[in-house]
Amino acid sequence: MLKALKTAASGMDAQQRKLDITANNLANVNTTGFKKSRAEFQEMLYTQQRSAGKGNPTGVEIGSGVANSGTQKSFVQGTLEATENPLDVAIEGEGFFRITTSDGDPAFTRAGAFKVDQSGALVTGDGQMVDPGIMIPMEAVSINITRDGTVNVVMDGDTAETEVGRLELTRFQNPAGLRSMGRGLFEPTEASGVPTSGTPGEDGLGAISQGFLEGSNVAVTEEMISMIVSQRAYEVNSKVIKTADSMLASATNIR
Amino acid sequence: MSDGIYTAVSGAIARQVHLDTVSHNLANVETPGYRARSVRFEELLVDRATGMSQVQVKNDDIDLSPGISEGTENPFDVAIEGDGFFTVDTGAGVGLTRAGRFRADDQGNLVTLEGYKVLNPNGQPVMVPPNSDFYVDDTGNVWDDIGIVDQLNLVSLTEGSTLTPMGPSTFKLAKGGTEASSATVRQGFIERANVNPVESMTELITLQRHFDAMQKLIQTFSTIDSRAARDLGSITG
Repeated sequence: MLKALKTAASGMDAQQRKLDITANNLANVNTTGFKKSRAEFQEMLYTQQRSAGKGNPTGVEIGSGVANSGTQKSFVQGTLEATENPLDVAIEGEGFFRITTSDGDPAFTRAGAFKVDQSGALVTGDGQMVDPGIMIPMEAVSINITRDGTVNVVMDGDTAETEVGRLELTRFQNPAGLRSMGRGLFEPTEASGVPTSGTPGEDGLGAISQGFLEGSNVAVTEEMISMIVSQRAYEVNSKVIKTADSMLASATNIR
Repeated sequence: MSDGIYTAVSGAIARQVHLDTVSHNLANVETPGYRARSVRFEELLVDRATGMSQVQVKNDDIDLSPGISEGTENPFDVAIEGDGFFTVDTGAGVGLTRAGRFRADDQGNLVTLEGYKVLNPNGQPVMVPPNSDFYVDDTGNVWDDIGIVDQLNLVSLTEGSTLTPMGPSTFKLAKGGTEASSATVRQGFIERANVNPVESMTELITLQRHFDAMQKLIQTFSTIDSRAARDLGSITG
């Protein structure tokens, strides 16, 4: 009986964790560049009550419930929203922008809501420099970013465009293995593979769209259904606890 | 002392194992690729002379009926429609699984959630094409931008084969063999657990009431024994 209690408790625990993840997804339904997570479940190990052998083709093995084996980020493309802001860029396809954090380490993001800091460098909303660095001159009247990431400016008094730099994109063998640092940033881990950088639009990398921002890829209907399912699974496991408890009570009340 | 009490106890113990199994099924009602388990009871003859027998749990069965496929838009989720399993290298032998929650590991191998490498029909790990999108067609061929690069191995069980669990949602052959399967593969879908919660809830009720009945039997035997000891053995009465 005690095993059934622990098994059911593992079920309830897993559903609770799933609900926490759903709540985070829904809270970030409007966050630029947000990538939804989902909970991964896995059966827990079996104990052999009786081994398979002669006359007994499969034996008796009872499992120990379910474990939340991790969360997986979904890098499905979010919808592009037009903002008409020349410094807003969205990636259409795969790849990440590379930025340098205040510790000097590289971090990766899909959120392309860039700004220009006081020295003219292209930075993220949090003030972190885009890598490779791009400087926008003070006298620039307009900025044009092409699909392959080339950043051109028109200076005051000129008619022609001058190239000031190029945005690079980075891709990973296994983007789901990236570690979330929060604030839309990801850092590479052993599981994500080595980052390979390149020109947008080539080698499987996505293209740059100026004047757009990538919205969150959370689908509200999906999350609502997930909530309903979590709740019912939670209830069903609590029924098992009630049954096990009642059986234990019955056994202790024999005498 | 009556021996019948042991029969009642064996019934109670069997139902306890049954509860553990139902509990494991319900805890995994949301685990992709999970196959429901059920236990089978059998009479165990303990005394040939009187025909006295007990109940034992003979073995547990794995329900291989397919679960519902759910669309996820994740290109690394693959579901099998029809009879079949993927083959994976668990590190301790080849395993069979339907849980198609794949990802690429850091060396570019296609692996399951547990890190088991997915195998092609030659028994080698399938590699994820490095610079293009991962695409699987409905016969299990893996494509890159140019053409077919590999194939996911799909096998089904031959007649009379049985499976035993080897790892989370992964099985190995206990008896029998496998042959190539003609099931279709759907990318962007994941197969859910084939647990039927309504059936499991009904099982919970049945097993609880049966367990209670066993407790009543044990109580009755205990009362009979105590009456026998007290009244029959009484000197004055």
